[in-house]
Amino acid sequence: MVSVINTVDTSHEDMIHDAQMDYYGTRLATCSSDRSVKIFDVKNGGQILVADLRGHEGPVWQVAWAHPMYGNILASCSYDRKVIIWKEENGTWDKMYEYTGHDSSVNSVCWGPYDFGLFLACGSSDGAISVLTCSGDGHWDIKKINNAHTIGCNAVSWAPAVVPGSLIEQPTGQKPNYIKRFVSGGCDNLVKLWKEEDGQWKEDQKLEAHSDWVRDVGWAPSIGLPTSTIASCSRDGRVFIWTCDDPAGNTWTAKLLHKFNDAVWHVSWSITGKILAVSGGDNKVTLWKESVDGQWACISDVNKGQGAVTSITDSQQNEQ
Amino acid sequence: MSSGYKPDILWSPHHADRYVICDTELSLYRIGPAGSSETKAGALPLSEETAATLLAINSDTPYMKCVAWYPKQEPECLLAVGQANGRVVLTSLGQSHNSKCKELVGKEFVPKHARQCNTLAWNPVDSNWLAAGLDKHRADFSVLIWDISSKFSPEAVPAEKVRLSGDVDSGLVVTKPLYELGQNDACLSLCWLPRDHQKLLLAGMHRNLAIFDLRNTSQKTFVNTKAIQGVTVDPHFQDRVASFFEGQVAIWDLRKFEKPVFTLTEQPKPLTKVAWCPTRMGLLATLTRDSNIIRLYDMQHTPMPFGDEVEPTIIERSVQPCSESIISSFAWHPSAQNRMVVVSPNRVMNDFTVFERISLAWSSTTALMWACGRHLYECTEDAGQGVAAAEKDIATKMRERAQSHYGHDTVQVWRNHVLAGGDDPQLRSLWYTLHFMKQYTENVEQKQQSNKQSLIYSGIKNIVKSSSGTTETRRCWSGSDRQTDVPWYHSEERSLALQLCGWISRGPDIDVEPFLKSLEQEGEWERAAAVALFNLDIRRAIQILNKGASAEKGDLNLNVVAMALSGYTDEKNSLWREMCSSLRLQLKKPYLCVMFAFLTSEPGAYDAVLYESRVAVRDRVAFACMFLNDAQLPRYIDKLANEMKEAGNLEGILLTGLTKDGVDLMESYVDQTGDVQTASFCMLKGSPGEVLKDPRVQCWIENYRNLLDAWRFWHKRAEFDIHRSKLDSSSKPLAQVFVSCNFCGKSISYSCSAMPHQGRGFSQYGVSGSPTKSKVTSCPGCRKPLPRCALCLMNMGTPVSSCPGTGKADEKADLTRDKKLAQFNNWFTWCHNCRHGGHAGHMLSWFRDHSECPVSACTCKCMQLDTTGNLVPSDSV
Repeated sequence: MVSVINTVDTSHEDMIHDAQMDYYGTRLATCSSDRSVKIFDVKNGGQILVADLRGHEGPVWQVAWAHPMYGNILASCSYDRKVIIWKEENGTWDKMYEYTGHDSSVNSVCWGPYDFGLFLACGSSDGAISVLTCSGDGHWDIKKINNAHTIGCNAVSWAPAVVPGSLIEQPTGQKPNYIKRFVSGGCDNLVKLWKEEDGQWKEDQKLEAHSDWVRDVGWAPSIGLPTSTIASCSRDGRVFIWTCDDPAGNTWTAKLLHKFNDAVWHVSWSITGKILAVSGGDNKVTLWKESVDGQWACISDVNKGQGAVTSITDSQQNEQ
Repeated sequence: MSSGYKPDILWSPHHADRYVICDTELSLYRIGPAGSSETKAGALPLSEETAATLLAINSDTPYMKCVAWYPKQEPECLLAVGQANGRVVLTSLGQSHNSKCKELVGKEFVPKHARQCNTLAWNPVDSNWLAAGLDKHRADFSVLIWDISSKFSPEAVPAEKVRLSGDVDSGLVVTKPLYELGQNDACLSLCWLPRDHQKLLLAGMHRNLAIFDLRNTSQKTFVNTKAIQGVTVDPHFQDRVASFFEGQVAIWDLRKFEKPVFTLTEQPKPLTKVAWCPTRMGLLATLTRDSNIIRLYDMQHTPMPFGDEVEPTIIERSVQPCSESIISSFAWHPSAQNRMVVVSPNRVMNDFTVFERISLAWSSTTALMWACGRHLYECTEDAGQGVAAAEKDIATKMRERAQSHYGHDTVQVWRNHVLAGGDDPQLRSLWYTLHFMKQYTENVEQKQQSNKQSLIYSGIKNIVKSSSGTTETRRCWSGSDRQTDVPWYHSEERSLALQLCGWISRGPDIDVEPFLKSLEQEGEWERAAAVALFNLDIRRAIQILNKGASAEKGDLNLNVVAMALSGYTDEKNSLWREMCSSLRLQLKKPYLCVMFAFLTSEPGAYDAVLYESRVAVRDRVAFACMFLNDAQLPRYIDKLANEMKEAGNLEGILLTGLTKDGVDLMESYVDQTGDVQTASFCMLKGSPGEVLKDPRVQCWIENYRNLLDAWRFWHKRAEFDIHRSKLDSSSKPLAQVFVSCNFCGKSISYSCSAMPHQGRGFSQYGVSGSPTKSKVTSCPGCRKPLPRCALCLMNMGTPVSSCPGTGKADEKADLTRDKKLAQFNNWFTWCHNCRHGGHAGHMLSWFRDHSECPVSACTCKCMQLDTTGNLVPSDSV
């Protein structure tokens, strides 16, 4: 069902590590080993470079857009141990905040649900996870979870604003009390869930199933109710789908989506949380969908593909 | 090349499509796309896409120990070959035979004492310099740097040594090296340092690595280590060097040469090759002896002065380029990303690319971006007719449906399923149910029976529960006097249920004829016949079947069915009955099947009809309402409702209505499909508004609004909000902004809306316009003039005219087209920052071409202050 492939010319000088579209799908942010973050306007299928953000001193691993209600804000994290929050004002991008609280490469950044403020989680190779919250006056409040994952944290992902199950137990008319939660994956082969209690971050759950580094985790957008769904992937080639029907959020069950022959790098949920995209070391992107009977099936296999091959030869000529 | 006869591989430094395989001879290959005209019949397949063609073979140089390709563009195929006796021979491959090449080819560089040549390296800058590393000799140096442009030097060459290499012209033999380094030592590997081309890194037997500077050969920096094989400089970071020994690789930083920066995990077998990837920062590939695995070490980060203690993170990966077969050697492609060719001991070659970590991200418009290496791909769902609607993602479906105003038809409610594409039976059933519910409440309103109104939306399940006064009759087969032995039930509630099923319209009479007619029109012959039969009208059923058979594209088999039907007898033991009850199971059409099931069933035992899941729920329920008694009916409806709830089948909304049960059902539907759009629109119809307070419903509505926002369907969202506030008054948004007069501070919105204020203003400001159209240019409170539009300089309150000349005509056209007093173009708008503003229409057209405020000397970039200011809605009004 998915096959149309366009190549996007980013003019990055080295490997691209992440590319994210903003909330409206009109802007693209990319980051690369060439230490730069680039922002493109996406219009009529073409891209116009609008900003080249320099400030990192190492490869930039990940970028994340904040919700537009806070303005055009982008967070980037890098091997240089920094997290930089960029903001566009009057058409120019500037550093809004620079966080240097980690002792090693920062591998992942993710903004929390916008309904509850402007806050960000970052996971680092130093094993710690930081949660930065903007207090509104340009000041950032920092909470650090030390030793969240031994050897290092590779990915963080926030629970959606409406945590499934939290609503049902509420007496009608009362606004549900959102508990901030996120999931993280690390080099200790673990997937961990965290929640905030009385302003402190506590480990809520420890999900064990992987036998090698967990490379990525993704909390599915909650559009239906009442299950929470998390996808995790690992160097062991396996992708697990974790679900929790329990309103208290204590019982999580793992279902193996697939065992790939090579490492699995990333998982990403579609906007409705109905399709999971998985990228693996075999250079394939596969799309998965849950059938009515709860089985996950591969609905599309976007191969390295003809589109990709021709574009690679094109750029070879440019490189020479 | 450690062992003589295992093939090694070398890429041409300047031709991205050429490489050389060397074992006992040198073979030049060209790599090209498989199956193209360029690659001839004899091409060897290297991968699915590529194949190699043999261009030339050179077997002039026996006893090869090592080979190095001349780094300059011209002559292109010049190679230096180091031999077992220590001689270095220049040779060539292929067509290139220009004068310079001819002059050089065949030239030999001979050491004083014969011993094995281990390694060769061309100087990257001064390409006449060729460094050769040799085995140890007591009386000689182990590193000789030859100048290939130097001439024959006769005095030092013993005659017999010249003869060794055959009948070569002695003019081509050079015996005097430019530099000699490392006396009484051996050199296993060496490389020039790219930072300073006068410096050489040597790896010698005395367990050390040494850096020599040719400008002062007596000085050297050295370090003791076992890792003295295969020194190689990282092309991306010129201070980083890898060397190996046995199974261990050491990574050195030349600025801190005292000890290795780190060593890689030891491998059980000795290493044979270590190579940095030329296209990718910090990627090192290693190969061990007799292995089918290439191990990759990803030191992606750029080295930074972090202090000494930081251990860099290294990502280790193994790749198997040619499944089970052993790899003899490999070589990175000089420019293609992460590509290499590997060769097996029996010279089988393989083109292979190491795939990078692919990062993925969905955009809100169901496009998927992924980054791989230096490339970024975007893929979107296939649009157009080719894709079956059922396969489309729900997000795509919802977008399409939002565009077609799905859910907004409040008059002919059933039409919404057509707006949704008309191909989803569940949606069809749902919207018909809602349609019948609405129709009924409208009828009831006329009769002033408001108590029934709330009942109607609570579904058949609750309706039949409240049923009382059921009468049981035995009706006759119509058109005959024969009484059936089938009990037939009737009550007010049951007849209400039948109406909701769509079988009958209003009134107490059970008249299905209009329904049958509409079914006939739609060509649903079997269904119409079944409905007729359930109303005990065999004759009508037969008539419908006949019609169906004779209709265009009709099924002639229907006539056969009609014949079978006409033979109906209520004799319990008749042959007809016996045959029908067995043969009906072979009927493929569900409605035909249930017809015979009904005729052959015992009264009250209609499971074959009631549980035929291929028959629409509404028909089964209508059937149940007629033929099940007061005890059976609620049980059946409950059971069916639970089934529907579990399955998330929208047909069940007929049973549950828009109650908490209905929300439960919808919840499992949304869980499966993610279709919050249908859920939102459906639940909004529940007019008593009870279900709207359910947090789940609120959540679906919010989710749907968020989706519309993210898709930039802002008009659609506004329409949805308006639609919602009409049906659910509690969701009506409060006025968020009002315009107050600069002088008296009172709100002027009153004047802008519908105040029938006429006269004074028009002539005073010279505004021409229809006198029926009310315009106010002054505050209704204090009569002071309103501020002026920054562009047309008219006081606010005057209507917008796009150009002074045509103003009149425009206005008239506007009047006829739209009677609204304050069209959007006439609205007040202003910048929150600089406070300048004017008519919305003027401002919009100004900012289409400008970024700064229209007021002269104001440099405020009004539109850019808002993050969404420059975004365009992606939907139409």
